[in-house]
Amino acid sequence: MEKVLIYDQEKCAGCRSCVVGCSLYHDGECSKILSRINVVRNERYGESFVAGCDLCTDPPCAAVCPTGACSVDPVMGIAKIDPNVCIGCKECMIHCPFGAVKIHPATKKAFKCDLCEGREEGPVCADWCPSGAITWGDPDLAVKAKRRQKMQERINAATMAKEVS
Amino acid sequence: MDGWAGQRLRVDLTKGKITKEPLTLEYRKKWIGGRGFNSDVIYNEVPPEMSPFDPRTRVCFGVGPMNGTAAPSTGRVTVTCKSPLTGGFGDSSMGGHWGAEVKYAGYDQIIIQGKAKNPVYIWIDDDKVEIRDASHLWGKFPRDADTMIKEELKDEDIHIMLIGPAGENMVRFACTFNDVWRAAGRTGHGAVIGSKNLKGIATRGSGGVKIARPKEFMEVCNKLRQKFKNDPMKIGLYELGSLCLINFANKDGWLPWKNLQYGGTPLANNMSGETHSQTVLKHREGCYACPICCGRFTEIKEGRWAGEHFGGPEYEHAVPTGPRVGIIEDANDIWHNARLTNDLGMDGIETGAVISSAMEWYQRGLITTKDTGGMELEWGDEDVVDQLIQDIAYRRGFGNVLAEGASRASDKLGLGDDGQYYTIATRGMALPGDDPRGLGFGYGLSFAMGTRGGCDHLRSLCCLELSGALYPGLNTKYLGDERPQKPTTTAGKPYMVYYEENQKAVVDCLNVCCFTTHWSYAVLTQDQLDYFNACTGLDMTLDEFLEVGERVHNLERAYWALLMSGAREDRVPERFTNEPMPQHVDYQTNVGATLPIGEMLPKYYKYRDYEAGTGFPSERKLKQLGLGYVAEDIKPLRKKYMSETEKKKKKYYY
Amino acid sequence: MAVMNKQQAKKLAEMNDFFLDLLNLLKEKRVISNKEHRTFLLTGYEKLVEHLGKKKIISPVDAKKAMKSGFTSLVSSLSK
Repeated sequence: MEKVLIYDQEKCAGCRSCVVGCSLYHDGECSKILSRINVVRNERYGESFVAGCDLCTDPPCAAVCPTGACSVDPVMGIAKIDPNVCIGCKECMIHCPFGAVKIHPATKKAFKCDLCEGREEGPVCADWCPSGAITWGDPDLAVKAKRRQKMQERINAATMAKEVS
Repeated sequence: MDGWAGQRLRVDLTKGKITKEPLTLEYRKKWIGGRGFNSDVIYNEVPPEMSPFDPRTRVCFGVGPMNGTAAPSTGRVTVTCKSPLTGGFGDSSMGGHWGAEVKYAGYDQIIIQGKAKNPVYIWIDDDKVEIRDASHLWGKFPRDADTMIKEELKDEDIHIMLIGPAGENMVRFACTFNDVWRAAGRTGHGAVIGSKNLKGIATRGSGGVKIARPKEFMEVCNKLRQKFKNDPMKIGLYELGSLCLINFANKDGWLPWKNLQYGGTPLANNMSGETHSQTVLKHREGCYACPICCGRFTEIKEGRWAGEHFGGPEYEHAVPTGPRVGIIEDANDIWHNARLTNDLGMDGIETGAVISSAMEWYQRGLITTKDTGGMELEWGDEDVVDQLIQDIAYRRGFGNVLAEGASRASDKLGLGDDGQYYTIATRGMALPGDDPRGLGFGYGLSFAMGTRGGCDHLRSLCCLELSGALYPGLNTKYLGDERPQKPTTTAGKPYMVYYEENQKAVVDCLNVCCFTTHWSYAVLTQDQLDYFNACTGLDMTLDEFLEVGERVHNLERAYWALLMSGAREDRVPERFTNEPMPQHVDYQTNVGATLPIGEMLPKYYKYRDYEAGTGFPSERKLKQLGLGYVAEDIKPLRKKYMSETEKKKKKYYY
Repeated sequence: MAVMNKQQAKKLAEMNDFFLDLLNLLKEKRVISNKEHRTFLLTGYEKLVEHLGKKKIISPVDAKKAMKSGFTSLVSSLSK
């Protein structure tokens, strides 16, 4: 399968390296507002959540766009926004289930994740994530690895139970 | 403007006045930011004779040009004021995300002065700044105040600096937090903030940081982040937190046991990073833009403290109210005590230090239950420690005496020089969890020479003698010699401490995390210069860059000189010179060691160009650093200092 | 280029902490200026060796060796 961004929320440490790398890569400026990926935290309980584009194959953001500015890119297979066509109506922003589409504070046009198109090493967020909360990989392989991990956990628990008894 | 925001915010709580002051390029090149900005303000605006609780005193929150950028670990904030613990120059640094938010709101520094009539908090919403009522927040733990402010301001995404009840009660070592749990621990600025009736500073910043040369900056940041992926310190810190040090500290005999009478305990593994991660670790956490993510979130699952949870602990946070007071059997007690000092808002190091000093006074019969209000200060008694931590925070009974810090408490109790011996402090500030008879002689030297009260591992953080072993050739690169890599040798240590102190000062001015530059050496001095230049658009040379560090260090040293503190106080606790390290752990490596401070100090003075008699920075050095006005301030004090030395004046503690 | 004799070299090589003494000697012999003394005191050993190599005070081979093996090698290259 094509590589996608895989989010493992349990591993998110809330550092926002993804956020700051994204804005630097795309805009040459470091800012949360300009970033196409977002991190939400509840510091009191140590909880963190990375909210990025989920790379829908049938994206609601494209479906609601009145001008076609937001449409599925035939090569990348995900929604891309053309700022030259975008009229800033915000329908995409409202309809994205993940809150991954934003409005640029200066241009007032919508913008979203473009998988750092053209970056050899792949998306910055996955490249820089220190905890493995975001990885850039084949989702089939990721799910297969998860199944094996769960199997191993079961084996370990069974072995321990046996030893105790 | 590139890098910097270009202005600082000044809030006068007496007058309710808010001003924004531009920072010239010349000023920014001279001091860079963070600690540099703060130290300059304290030197110029807080006269040495001013009481730390005088309403006219300043508390500074400094961020730097790198804050909020993609350089590794850019969330830190330096908090500086005249310390109520030592009476001298004091600062501390905290991680978290508030520093980036302050920068995004458009400020390089916040200066607080004056005193509000009633409890207040400050709300910074980009360029809108207001002073709001905090009477409903007074008395609250930072975790509760944080929740309440976010509800009040209807934004869960803001970041807030807060003090706890200990700061409100002006405990002399009360501390400051942001994002609830990230602490700026040392020197007692929480008490100064509390004395101003200030509960905290809530911040929302919607701006960004402009980068002068974005492509170049991206290249440097990317190169460094790739380096971190395989960095041995990163891996250890990410997996296990700073508690990864426990078993090393125990083996090399620098883990404080019973007020540093011993350098370890056979049961140390109970609180190791390995044990922590298998039993109570709930989440790993990272400060802003950090590639390491050493932060912990702990939840106690069993025993009398089951259900308690908190952010942390760090090594330095857990050890003082753990092994230092003789507690190691049940690690949950240690986690609980760390949770307490967090919720109450006190420096974990100083809290544990003052309790362990009191326990040793009790052990040696210097105090009795008459002094303690009936409490029997037995080593390892969790009931006593749990009670005392709270009594200190609320200034109750014997806790009220200890809330003054060990040096003052000793004098209050009339214990004379004997009492002071067991405070394990320099210039009135206690040693952290790092016995230099095992940690390293370089550290030992820097304990004597620290400019925020001695006994401080963070002024040099000369990890070249510690984690340096993980980076073959690094000692040779900077010092020309691999011998200094060994902790318990004096070889090369005077130069090591000189170099690392300057380097660390620059790191503090940049306000990036020293775990990226000193624990891990993934970010070398040259790398810091590269990302600084690319971010700000300047073309500083390496020596100009390091000179800023030397300038800041000397300014702070001069501030101590104004307080008549110099050569006489350049000492380490006599335990380290008088008492050979005893054996307490089978595999301990430093049995018999003492700290040969006398072999290193004179050479270090030469590196620093300090005068032999006074220990003051020389006029020549100060002028070289553009601090001629400081040289003039010190000039009239030399004679007085020397005559005091001749008259064998009592040691200066605070 | 010989900046010191073998006896001076031996003394330096045996020192517990040598860097300041080395820089002082190089300044005294006018191999480095006042400003350069100041620069290398701040920036450290590697920068000094780089400079000595560039100025041909020591050969490129000796500079490389000094980077790798440390000051005893440097001091040997600087002595006659």
